[in-house]
Amino acid sequence: MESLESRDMEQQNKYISVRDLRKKYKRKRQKDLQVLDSINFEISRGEFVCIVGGSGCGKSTLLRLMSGLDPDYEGQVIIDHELVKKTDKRRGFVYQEHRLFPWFTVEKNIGFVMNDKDQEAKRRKISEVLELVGLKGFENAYPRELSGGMAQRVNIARALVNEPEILFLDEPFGALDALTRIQLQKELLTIRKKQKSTMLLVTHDIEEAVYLADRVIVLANRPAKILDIVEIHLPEIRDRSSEVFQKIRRNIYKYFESKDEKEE
Amino acid sequence: MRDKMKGSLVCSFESMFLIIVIVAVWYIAAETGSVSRILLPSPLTIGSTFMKKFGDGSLLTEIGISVGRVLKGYFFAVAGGICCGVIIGLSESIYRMTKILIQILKPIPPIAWIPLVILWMGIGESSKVFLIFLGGFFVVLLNVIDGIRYIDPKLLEVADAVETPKVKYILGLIIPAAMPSIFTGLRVALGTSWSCVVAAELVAASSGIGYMISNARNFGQMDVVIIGMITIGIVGKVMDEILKLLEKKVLAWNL
Repeated sequence: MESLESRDMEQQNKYISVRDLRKKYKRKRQKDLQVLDSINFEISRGEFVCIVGGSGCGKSTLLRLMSGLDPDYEGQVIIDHELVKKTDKRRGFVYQEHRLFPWFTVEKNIGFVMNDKDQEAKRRKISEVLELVGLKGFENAYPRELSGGMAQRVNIARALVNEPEILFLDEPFGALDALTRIQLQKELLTIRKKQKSTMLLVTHDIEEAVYLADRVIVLANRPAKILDIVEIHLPEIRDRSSEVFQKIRRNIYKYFESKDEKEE
Repeated sequence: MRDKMKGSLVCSFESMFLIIVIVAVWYIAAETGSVSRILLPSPLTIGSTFMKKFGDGSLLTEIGISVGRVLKGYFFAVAGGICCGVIIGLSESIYRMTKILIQILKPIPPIAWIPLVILWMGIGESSKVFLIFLGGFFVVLLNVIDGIRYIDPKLLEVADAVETPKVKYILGLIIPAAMPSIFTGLRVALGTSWSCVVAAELVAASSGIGYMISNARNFGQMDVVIIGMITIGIVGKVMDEILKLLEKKVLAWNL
């Protein structure tokens, strides 16, 4: 990773900065597929940002580039003055599917991503993080014994155990039933309060974005471009049924509605 | 699911039915004299010869010798197959380098190796162990390679994202993830190894179950030949059952 010279003071103060980010997928005997086109935005330390967009619009790709999972891109992703070219322990990733190893218990699944030498400290950290996601006592359970919601909690715990400065979440609640989803969204806010990490969450659920985020980045469909960045000025604990909440939701929804009509 | 587990060990009536019918037809054919006793001895003759061979311990001795050889050759096949398989499966360039060679060597039956192996190693124990090794090695190897190459890349990404140390990567992720495929290889390889020992002993040996068969042929003792054949079948089945039990233990997470 190389340190970059700052362009100006304002940009330097920003914790994460994405500049002119583009991504192409090379295809055989076809034109390259442009999935991201000239993406620019910045995120401050401790901020919770949600990225919403239609399915297949490239929002997950954006998250993968920013976390270093996919280093093949044009433009710049700068986190804490460093150009992102690979993954880093300081950045946790919560995958869309739980991706737990079926042959390991919950405890060993979380332990797998840790490189702590001290076994005692390791066990303590695992138990702390399991308590944080509300799964204390499930250390010795196997993934097949867990419900979808529980598996997703372990997925989150695994991402948190190395105490990351940034947490990337790729549609973490997409496959869960509505009630479990609401429950986990609430818990994610509690976790954020305790961990104080910066969070970036990708979702296609506008309500989820408005409920969780300080700012919502709205992406257009392929190639993904930023349509709008919406600041959410709502209290910490949000009432989904309130007038203001619904108004913000409707405003974001309009971006996708008009798109559909054009296609028809 | 419980029924499935039981079914393989307990001899149910359905699984025995066909065997009983075949033995009955055979018995009638032999006892009524519609088939020459020289061509096909009666089940009764076979039964009494079996009791004699079993009683004086000679049958068990021959089985013991053959099983011992199989275990030696099989051990090398498994150890070699897993080690080479992990190396080839993990490296795209080594995979491409070895692919054609393995694909050409694999279909050569171990029996075709016999002339060369006897020339190189003589007719002692080592040549038989080597033939058994050949019989099992490629089966294990290919299953290990496939097992590793078809691991869900999403699981690999979890490990890659946190810079997992190599040893932990292999022992904690690669081997367990490939284990179902590896076990398929282990079971098929045990079967092929077992048929190789018989082939090797038919050609050059002075002991073992294959020798028992070829020796009996020279004396026209078809009852002993048939006992040898049935014994090979039963021992093969028992060995497979033992591996299946082991598989159930090791792969409990996969059931």
